Amino acid sequence: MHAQSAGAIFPRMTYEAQKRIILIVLALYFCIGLYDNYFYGNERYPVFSWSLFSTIPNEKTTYTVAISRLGVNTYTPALRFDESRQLFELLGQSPTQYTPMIENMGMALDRGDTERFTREKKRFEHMFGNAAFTYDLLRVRYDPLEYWQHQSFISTTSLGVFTSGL
Amino acid sequence: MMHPLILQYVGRVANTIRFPSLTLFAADDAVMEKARTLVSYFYYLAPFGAFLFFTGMWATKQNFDPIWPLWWVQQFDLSYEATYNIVRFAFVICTLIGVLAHPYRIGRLLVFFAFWQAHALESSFGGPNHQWYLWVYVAAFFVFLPNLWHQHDASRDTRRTFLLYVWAAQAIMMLMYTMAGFHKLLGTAMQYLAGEIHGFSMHAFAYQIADWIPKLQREAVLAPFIIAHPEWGWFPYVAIQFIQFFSLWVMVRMSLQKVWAVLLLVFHIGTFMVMGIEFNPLLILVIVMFFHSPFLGDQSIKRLLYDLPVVGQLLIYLPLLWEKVRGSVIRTTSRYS
Repeated sequence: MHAQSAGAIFPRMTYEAQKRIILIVLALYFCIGLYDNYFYGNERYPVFSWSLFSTIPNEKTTYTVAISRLGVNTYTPALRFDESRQLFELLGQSPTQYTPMIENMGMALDRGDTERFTREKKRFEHMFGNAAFTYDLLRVRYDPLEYWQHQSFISTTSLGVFTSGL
Repeated sequence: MMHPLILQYVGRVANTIRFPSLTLFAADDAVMEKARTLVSYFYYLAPFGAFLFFTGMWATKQNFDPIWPLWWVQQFDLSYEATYNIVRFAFVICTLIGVLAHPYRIGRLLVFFAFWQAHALESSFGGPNHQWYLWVYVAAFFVFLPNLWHQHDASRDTRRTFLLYVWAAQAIMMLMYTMAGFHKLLGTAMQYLAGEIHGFSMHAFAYQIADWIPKLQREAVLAPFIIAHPEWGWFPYVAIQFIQFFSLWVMVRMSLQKVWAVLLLVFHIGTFMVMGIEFNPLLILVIVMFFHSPFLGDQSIKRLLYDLPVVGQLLIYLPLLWEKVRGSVIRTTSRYS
């Protein structure tokens, strides 16, 4: 006869059965995290792959924005994304929350995936509510160490100037 | 056909990563007391987390986009202001109830729901929040604990079950670190094969920092130093990949839990100094869950060394292997002498 765990949430379930369930839950979490990271390409709440800083950013092509207008403020020259922390601090948020969105927008536009681009653009523009917001979406080629030292990209291509909230 | 010595070695290694027996731990009253205390401290600290959450800059946030656990927001057509006020007040109230009522499942269930809803709210602004995930998971596992606070003649199985869920809560935390390490080591291997700068390269840490800090746009006190002197960043960067990867190991070699928790604290504090990344809620949870772990057992240097991943295995099996090789050499030479 199997021993039973009195007082447990599943009183009829043996200790061994609960142990097996826990191990399966842990294994499933690991597998879902891996699948989402390498195949699904997105995070599905409440599971996370915990893939953080998994690769070294070599010289690469990426995407960024330059903000030329927000609300009543205009910026000449346009405010680079890496100078815009104060705008996010006013919202109680970090700019790093938006870097994946900018990447996704740029990649979708380059791939011609209009549906994905529209969805990501809407989410990105939503961050400043209904304030007038004008920005240039840029495809940039850069080397992180070069950029750290000289604050310049190897090449910059504008993918379009977008406006919302007007 | 594999050499019998290798087969024997693989068998022994497999044996060392078996699920630890909690039966012996459950027989020890001191262990059970530590386990109860650990769980209680989780609930004692929860109101502090709720208060930090309460004081967040909720009023200025603009892009509220509720995720599925907040289904009731749309159901009852609630404004953002009403939503964050309901969640933050409920969070504080439920965690305060939890301080007193955590021995009862209903108390722990309330705390879990409060953490879950608060975390869902925090994750409803463009992307999930990674800081509080583990508090939600730990609170979820603790719901399943049997009540050992008011049951002094509990059976062996009830005591084992209590320890099982404490083990599970610790394991999900360490699994998270192992997953982070797994992705880093896989990334290192892939970039090495592609001929790129990879996780073991001398400039790896410098590249990581130079890419991240402009995005974060916050000062990190040691970032310029590591970029200027990448050789100082090489060992910590390589070491942390292995420390993270082997984190789950301490759930089967449990004497290492406290040592690993200290290494993880060093990792989090170092990450803040070099990359400006705060993981404060996780820092507190690591302290609560591992510094007073009921599973530590023998803390002698010898035990810790022998329990280390890879190093411990070599310490155990290399002398055995050496004896076998030496024995066969002696037999061979004596045959021909």
